[in-house]
Amino acid sequence: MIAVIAAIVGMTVIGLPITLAIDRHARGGALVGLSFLYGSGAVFLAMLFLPWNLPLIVVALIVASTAAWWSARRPRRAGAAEVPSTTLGTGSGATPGRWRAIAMVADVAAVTTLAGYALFATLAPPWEWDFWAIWGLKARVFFERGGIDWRFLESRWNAFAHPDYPLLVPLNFDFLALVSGGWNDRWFGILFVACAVALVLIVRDLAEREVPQPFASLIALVIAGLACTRYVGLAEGAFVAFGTAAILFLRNARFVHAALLFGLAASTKQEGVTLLMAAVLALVLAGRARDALRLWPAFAIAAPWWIFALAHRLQSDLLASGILERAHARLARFGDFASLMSRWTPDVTQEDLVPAAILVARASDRRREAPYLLILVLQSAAMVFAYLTTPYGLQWHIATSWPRLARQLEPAAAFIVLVLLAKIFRREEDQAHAEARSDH
Amino acid sequence: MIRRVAAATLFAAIVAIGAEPILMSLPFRDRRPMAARYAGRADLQFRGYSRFLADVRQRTSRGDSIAIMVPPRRWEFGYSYAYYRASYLLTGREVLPLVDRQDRLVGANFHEARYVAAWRMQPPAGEVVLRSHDGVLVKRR
Repeated sequence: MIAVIAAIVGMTVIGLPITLAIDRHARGGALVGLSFLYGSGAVFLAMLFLPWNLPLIVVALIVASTAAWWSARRPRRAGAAEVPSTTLGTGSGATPGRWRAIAMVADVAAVTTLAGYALFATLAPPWEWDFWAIWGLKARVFFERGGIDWRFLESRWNAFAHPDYPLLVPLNFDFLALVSGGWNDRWFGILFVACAVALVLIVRDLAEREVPQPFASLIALVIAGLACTRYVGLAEGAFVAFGTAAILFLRNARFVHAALLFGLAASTKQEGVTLLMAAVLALVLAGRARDALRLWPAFAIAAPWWIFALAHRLQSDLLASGILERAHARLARFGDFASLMSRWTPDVTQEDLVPAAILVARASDRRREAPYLLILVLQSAAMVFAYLTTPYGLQWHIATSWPRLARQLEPAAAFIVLVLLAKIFRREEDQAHAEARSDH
Repeated sequence: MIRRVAAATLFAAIVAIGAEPILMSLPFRDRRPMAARYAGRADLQFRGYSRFLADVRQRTSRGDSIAIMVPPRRWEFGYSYAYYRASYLLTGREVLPLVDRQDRLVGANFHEARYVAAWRMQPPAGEVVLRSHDGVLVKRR
């Protein structure tokens, strides 16, 4: 356990200068959260390209981190740094005592949730089928091989392990194993606790910039519940952290963070690739093609794995021939398809509240959030398309994955609608001020 | 005013539904029964199978090919579990299935494998290397 914790702390320390090089204004919770996420990404890239020798990997990470530190300390021309957007308005202003008390209770509840998750995620070695059939299996095979085992990935008998899936999480497992001095999956759950903590810290910081207390703390409490994925050992926790943070930084006009986090989300799960495409498409549809272009670093981060996968012919099982025929057949019975999706949709009450909250929100706030809500809609549409064209039995595929995938978007959706609702309570003068600024 | 009441109600509802009372209660509960339940979850389907595979791992070497023989002959109804579990617990070896996704027997793997790990099955002819937890490891070549 100590080795795993030390590795995760080390990843965070490595990520610290990287975060500051991107955003020298980053402070507090967001700095810590981003540092872990970037540290995890740096470990992934180092393990993807370098021989698996722990001293070599650590030296490479330290060199990268030192270079980032040097870059962060250099004087910079105005406007070059990632500066938190102020166009959304802030939660500034004195907080009355009773609101402070509610905020404190919410913070304690969020910390207790994360502590409970830490205990849950480490009850036992990861128990999920997909851990030992996909994510953990690949990591363990690679660890024994001392590097990525392309022969294993190319073998037709291992198609069940989805060789085309990106490798950020398996390579993070391997880093933990290298630091631990051997394969021991007992404490791998801590990695997902770190992802949840990172996301909650980022969310609380971003919420506090936009809405007053106790709303910011209450939003962090909700996200704490949603970030603590029950699928310990799968890439869900990491994807939820990278993907949600990417969307939230994008809506805050912090494009470098958004781009890097989208790239890391695309290096974590195939849904990350569709999320990146959804973000680009949503920005283009919103008439912000220039902002879409600013996401190019995401493609630079994700591209190496795409090239490797192409070179080794690691194909997605969902792309098996006959896509159009399958889509046609299922669209012809769309009622059955829709009822199956509806039957397996989790957290229905919560998801019903999202459209209601959007309707209640102020029109100006709603307009501002439209591109980010569109990302969520496009991502959901991509998932529906995958089910319509799946080569597997529809019932089996939906039942075994939709309840998990549907939860991936919940933290971003919850953040956006809760901020929309909280802004209704903003003082009238703050509202007018924020709207005037957003018109510039 | 109506908008504010609706917003307050919705905000409170989302917070109430989003909070995780089970996780919040975990630090204050006896977690041993839960830990025991989760620890055995991966091996619920075939009790003793993973212990047999652990012994198989001890008696085989990196690079050995091992075919998996278990009672279920249908991919989705037990065979895939046995094959996936063996793949994880026998990493470093080449684990070969004897049934494919279409439930067809894969005779070639049976003949190519250096070992056959037969669990709760009559083992094939060959040198018996190990008997443990209802399983037999047979060296074929």
